[in-house]
Amino acid sequence: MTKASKVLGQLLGLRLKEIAGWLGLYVLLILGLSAAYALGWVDEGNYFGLPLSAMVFGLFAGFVRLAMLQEQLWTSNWWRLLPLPSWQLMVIGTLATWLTQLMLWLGAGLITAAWLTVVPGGPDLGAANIQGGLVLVALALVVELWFGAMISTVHLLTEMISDYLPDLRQKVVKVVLYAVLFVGLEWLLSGLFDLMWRLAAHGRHPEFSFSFGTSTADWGTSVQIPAGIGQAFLPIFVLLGLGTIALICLNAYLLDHVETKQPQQVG
Amino acid sequence: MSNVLTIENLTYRRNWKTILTDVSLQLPAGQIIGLLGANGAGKTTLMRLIAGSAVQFKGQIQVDGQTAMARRKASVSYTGQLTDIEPRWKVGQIAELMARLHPDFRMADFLQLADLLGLQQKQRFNRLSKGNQRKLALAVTMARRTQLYLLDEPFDGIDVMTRKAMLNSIVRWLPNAATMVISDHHVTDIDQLLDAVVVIKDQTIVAHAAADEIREGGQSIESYFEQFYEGGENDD
Repeated sequence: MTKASKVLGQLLGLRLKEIAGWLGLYVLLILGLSAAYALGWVDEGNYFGLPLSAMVFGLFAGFVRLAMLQEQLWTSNWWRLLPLPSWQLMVIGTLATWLTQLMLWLGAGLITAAWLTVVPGGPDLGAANIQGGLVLVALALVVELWFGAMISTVHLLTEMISDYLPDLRQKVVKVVLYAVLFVGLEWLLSGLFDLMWRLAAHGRHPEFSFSFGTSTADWGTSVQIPAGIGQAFLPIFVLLGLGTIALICLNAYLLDHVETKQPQQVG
Repeated sequence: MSNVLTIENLTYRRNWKTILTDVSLQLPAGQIIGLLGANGAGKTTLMRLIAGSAVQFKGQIQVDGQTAMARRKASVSYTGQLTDIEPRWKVGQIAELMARLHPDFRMADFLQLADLLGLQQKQRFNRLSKGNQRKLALAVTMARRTQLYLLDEPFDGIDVMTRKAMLNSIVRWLPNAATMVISDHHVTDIDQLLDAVVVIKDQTIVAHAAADEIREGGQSIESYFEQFYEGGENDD
């Protein structure tokens, strides 16, 4: 087994507790809502909609937590002193975040599917909705991969720029730099997506336009996802994939050349 | 005797401040070298640069003939490895992770060292006293079989008797052909251990001398070191 795969395995193993925690909370929520529904405290729309919206919120919160764990890899001597080239550590760290998020999505999806199978009267899980749902999940995962790489880029660029500044109010300077760089890169992403929407507006990919329900109850009763959505989103997948690879390459270079912090002595 | 560490014209700056300037050093294999200097002189920084956790420098650092960062890291065992470790990890868990992530880590050696130093396998890192954390760092460092060992103030906060036990561990566990660089403010404690002394002052190396030559000159290592600061203020 190569060193890199061992490190990846270790990172994933350490994140298993995070996964178990999040999924455990989700199961408790479903059980609690089921009890509330049985007692008539929650209507049908919210009974089916609340877990779904909680799942989305939980996955987002889980991503934020995983991103924080990811950034600790670049500031911790424990990981940085492993005898691995920086680019391998960067790829492993970003991949560990994404694979953990994938496991969360799969876990949440299986729990949701099992719950909806057991409970009568749930939303229509027709083939079209399942296909559309899977495409949206795939899109969310690709976007998270992009954001995982982007967060590291912003972090490392912040450290690099602040290192060329005097040692005054460094914490404040770094927070400001982080915010400016994050907004800047996010603006770039928005510009790219705007380009895709313009293509849609010219009628080449009308499937880009679709709507979800506006309330949790709507989610619980029916969500219509148009056919052919996978093909419509293919350019976005490609764009995000290439963009992520570019960011990871940049991050690997930065990791080799950027001081992340002055570590404290043990003890 | 081949050099295990070669540093050429090393300069290190951060936040408009020069921390080390034009440092050059060659250390042969099989020696124990005392790295001495006042607080803030740059001893820890130099070790971080050699170990590979500090990266923004000018000049060249070679460990066992290797300049590539990953290869240098494979040849260096550094007590700062446990900095920013997950605080909830247990002693035994840390050792298991070291064994999986570092092919040169010897679990049997670690267990013997941990036993000698009174470390409990099931204790969490954040529950260890400062002294026990230092003992763990030493045990983890010495359990690896590498070319170069960097011990950065390993006895800070350690009581006298434990310090003696740790010093005995170092002598016993250090491979014959390996080189060790040790920095410590208790110079008299490590005096008899040293084969050579390197003194850092004014952001650079001001002295590199064989310990035997110092002793033959009628000086102790401590008095040799103190002469560089006599008549001036410490660089804090």
